[in-house]
Amino acid sequence: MLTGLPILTIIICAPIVGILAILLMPKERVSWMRYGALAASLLPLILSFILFISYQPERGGQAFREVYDWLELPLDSGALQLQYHLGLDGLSLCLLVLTALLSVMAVLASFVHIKKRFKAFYSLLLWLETGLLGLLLARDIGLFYLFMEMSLPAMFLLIGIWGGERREQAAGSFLVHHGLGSVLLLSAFVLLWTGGTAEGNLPESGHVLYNGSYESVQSRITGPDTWASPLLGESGEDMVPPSGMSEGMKQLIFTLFIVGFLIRLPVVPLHGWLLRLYQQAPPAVIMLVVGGILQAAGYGLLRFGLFMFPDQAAAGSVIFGILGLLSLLYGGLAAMVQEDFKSVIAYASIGQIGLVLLGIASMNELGLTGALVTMISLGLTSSLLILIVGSITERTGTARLDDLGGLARTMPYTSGILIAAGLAAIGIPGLSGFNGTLLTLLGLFDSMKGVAVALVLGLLPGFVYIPRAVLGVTFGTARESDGSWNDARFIEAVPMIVLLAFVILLGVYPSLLMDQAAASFSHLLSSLNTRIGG
Amino acid sequence: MPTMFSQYAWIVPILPLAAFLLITALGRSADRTASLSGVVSSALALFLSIWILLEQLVSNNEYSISFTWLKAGSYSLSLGIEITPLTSLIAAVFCLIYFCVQLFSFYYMENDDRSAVFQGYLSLLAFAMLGFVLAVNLLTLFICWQLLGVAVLLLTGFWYDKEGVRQAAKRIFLWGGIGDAALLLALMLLYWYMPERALDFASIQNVFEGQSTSIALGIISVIAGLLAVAAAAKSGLFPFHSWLRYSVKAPLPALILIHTVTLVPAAFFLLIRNFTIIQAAPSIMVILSWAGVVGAVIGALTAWLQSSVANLVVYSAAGQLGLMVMAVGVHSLNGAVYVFVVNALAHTIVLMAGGALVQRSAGGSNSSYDSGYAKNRLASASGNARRLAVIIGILSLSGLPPFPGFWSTRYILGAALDKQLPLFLAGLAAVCLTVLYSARLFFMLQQQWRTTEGKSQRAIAAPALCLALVLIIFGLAEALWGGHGGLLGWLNPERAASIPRLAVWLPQLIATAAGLGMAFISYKKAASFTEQSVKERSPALRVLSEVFYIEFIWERIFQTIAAAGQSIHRLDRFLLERDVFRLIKKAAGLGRRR
Repeated sequence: MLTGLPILTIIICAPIVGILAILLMPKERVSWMRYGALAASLLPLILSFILFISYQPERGGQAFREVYDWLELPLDSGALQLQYHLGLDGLSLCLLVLTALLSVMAVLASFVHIKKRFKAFYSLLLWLETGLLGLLLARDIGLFYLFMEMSLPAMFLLIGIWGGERREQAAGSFLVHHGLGSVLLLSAFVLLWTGGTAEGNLPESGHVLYNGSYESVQSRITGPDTWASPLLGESGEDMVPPSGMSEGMKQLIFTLFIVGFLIRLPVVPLHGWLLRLYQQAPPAVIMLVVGGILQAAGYGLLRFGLFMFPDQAAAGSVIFGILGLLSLLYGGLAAMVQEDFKSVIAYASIGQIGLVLLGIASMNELGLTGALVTMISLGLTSSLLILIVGSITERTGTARLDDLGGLARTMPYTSGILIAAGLAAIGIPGLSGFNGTLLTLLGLFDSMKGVAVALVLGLLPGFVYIPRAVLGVTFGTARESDGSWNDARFIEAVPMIVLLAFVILLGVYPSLLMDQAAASFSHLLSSLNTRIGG
Repeated sequence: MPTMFSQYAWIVPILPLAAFLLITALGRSADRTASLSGVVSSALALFLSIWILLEQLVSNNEYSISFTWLKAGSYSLSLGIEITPLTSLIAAVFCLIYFCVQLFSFYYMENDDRSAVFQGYLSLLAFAMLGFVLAVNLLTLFICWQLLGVAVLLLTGFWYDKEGVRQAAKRIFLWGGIGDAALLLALMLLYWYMPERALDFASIQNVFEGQSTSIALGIISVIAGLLAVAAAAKSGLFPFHSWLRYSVKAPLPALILIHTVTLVPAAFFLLIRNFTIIQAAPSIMVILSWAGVVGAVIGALTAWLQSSVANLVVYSAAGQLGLMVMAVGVHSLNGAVYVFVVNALAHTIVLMAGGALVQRSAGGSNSSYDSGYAKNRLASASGNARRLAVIIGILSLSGLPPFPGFWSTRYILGAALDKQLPLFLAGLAAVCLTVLYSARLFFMLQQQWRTTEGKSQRAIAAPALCLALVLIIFGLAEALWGGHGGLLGWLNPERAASIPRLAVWLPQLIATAAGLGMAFISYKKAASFTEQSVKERSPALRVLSEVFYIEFIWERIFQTIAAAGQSIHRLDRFLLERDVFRLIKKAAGLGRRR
């Protein structure tokens, strides 16, 4: 099915077509725009589901590969080639489905929460989606960077126009952090692209084609013959690769990548933008951040940090461990005392990001799978929580915990989902959070015993802040003025139910996800083990 | 006989789960149907579990089934259930109580507009507990253990708009979380130290019972210690008891289930299921036996000082849990199981029959319970039946000779005497105090009945009487045929209890008599215990009724942790106010000035 079609290109282009259609619509036809945006985001979701079902981990993503030469920049000693190169593997596929899903949910959420400048909003939202989907499918570092940067202006405008009272500040904070990250990442990409070759290192034949596809970059890092690429199992194009990089250069590029992506993830000392974003941005945008931008950063960390520089990553795993633990404890402790529900979710997300980093730090199959599952669970649960809090805030006009209470009486249905989402966020079995935590923990204990023990302690604040926030809002006596609210409308309820369904599905049947992703990690690890062993 | 029924054992936990899902799916629209499905599923589960128990009694064929739940590369984790004599017995007892409580709550919650939701939560609790009991490996056990906490959270918070309920739910959940964390750590350690990453109880037993375990004693002690902490924190064993008094906020049926067969005895079951591990760590065994007996004494003393039936039963259950833990600590597994069974039945009878009185003293109920069946001629007959059931329940609880409480305690005391004399003496003190508070419980119920005469109902008389009958049969059977290793000897024949000696039962009788004597002497005094009077009477009683103020120590610890969070919060605010963004603005300002 669908084998003849350039399915990956269709996934990326569907939102763009949607943007064009929305721009042509008359200004007053708001519902046209809404349903247009919904259709444009539904198509990638359906296609990615089909991909997910038909994808066979053992065969890899060969059938879906699309390569076209795009442009070539002549240099002194050769040429810089930029390819339109799309591909797929288990890792990107899982995140692709998540991002596509959350995009649809974000469009649905914006039906309720966006009340001005619809044309611009839906265009930007779809633009953001294009970037997020594209970077997962890109197989060329230039293309990856392009897609990644697409999200930056879109996010800036989305926060800055539709945000809360202090939206400019939040947008500015986002731009500063991400701009800084971009600079670091761009320098890393350029170094990778040109192979980081020193003058004397060039082959004598003269003309070198600097190709940005992952395979050729990979072979440039390690030298041509050392080991086969773990990505698509293919050797590069017919070009003359420079021989492997020097250790110092590898370390430099690795460090640039790590710092760049950790700003975006974000890890604790750099988390200011996320807090502000949670405070100010509309729910639909936050959903795309936790379900897209954070995932993109995690994906980049795995793809460029771990897969391309496994040795450096193994050596630096202690740093991941420390940063992860710091984020986990910091987020958990701070979430315990927040006065605002949105801040509680923000800090809880930071704690979960810490968990993801800890999974990466373990550098084994269990831990890495745990990191991926946690990342996906983070996207689902945090967006579900923020969606519900958005609905509550819309009715009560506040998200302050002190001012809320007794919603179980007035909004029983929403309250039920809120409790389930809260339990999922702290890893109660049967819901998505548990599997990731368990795998991370088991993996981490193998490599860092002390950190694993600390991780368990780091889970404890969750048993305080989630009941405090969730029960604080739902339990207790209702305020007098609250009688008039209604429970969630149908259009609000749909994304909540869908997200909760996925949270439960992943919690009960995690193999669904893990079978697809496992192959990507086992390639990495077997290569790592042979390299360390040999 | 082959395992005819045991192979369908997986249906037992699935039944309440199905009821839970059905009720959740139906929502409030189909209240009565939904509630009924809870009752029906519990009846079916009881039926099946009894057949399984009988089969185990006859053939002793163990049976287990499991499936791979998740796979990460070369590692895999599986879930499943296992039928052994022990698990089948506990499951059957649980199903019996669960069925009675379902029936009871069907009437009790009749006029509550969310009765279906309540039945759903009860079903979730039953699913978690049955999964916990029948678990084939530690992972399944852990998952159900956490779900148990969630179900208790939901049940405690059921009347969410009542005062103090929110606080109560938060407390219980937090302590449950501490227990979860300890168990998770134990699981993690076992996973990496067990050969071939096996977590199932059969392998654990093989590894730890063999004389030459490959695991260092230090590691074993840590694992056993973590298991003990997990059990104590989740189930409210002293000094982790501080959430107990909050749990009375739950509706009565939930209160019964939580304190008689689920959350509180979960500690005992966790310990007994992992007994081979704990046994391999002698120091933990000693700590457990002492923690148990101290818990029993303090639980009994505190129960004696309570001024409401619900609170009294809550602390009584905690005290009995102490006895069970002590039994585990002194290798008297049969004694522990025995105490569990007796308590489950006796406490259920008392709470069910104490009914409306209990809940009223716990802060009022909005159900129809008080007014429902009032003016009925049959009421007096059922009232008498109920009273009889309560008397049998209390007698069993207090440990007067022909009733099963006596036999259960005898096993434990005998084992304690074999270990240490001080332990035995402390156990005798617990026995004496148990009689004391049982008597007080009786007087309290008596007094309250007198004031609310005529307002009784049939719905609970029958199940209560049935449970009482089971207790009597149990006690008589033990008295007549208990000589050879006791009724529960078939559980683990090789560890059957020795025939109790005179040195055990004579002091026990004396202690019981002393307790009775004290009860009669202090009857007048104790009857006037109210919350106010206990506090005013004497500092010693006050310290006791507050359980040595240990709760305040915990409170202080939590406050310290919250203060750490507070300072992080302040740090973040500070950074956010003057972060990069502001610096850049400043830099831009500088540039403009030039």
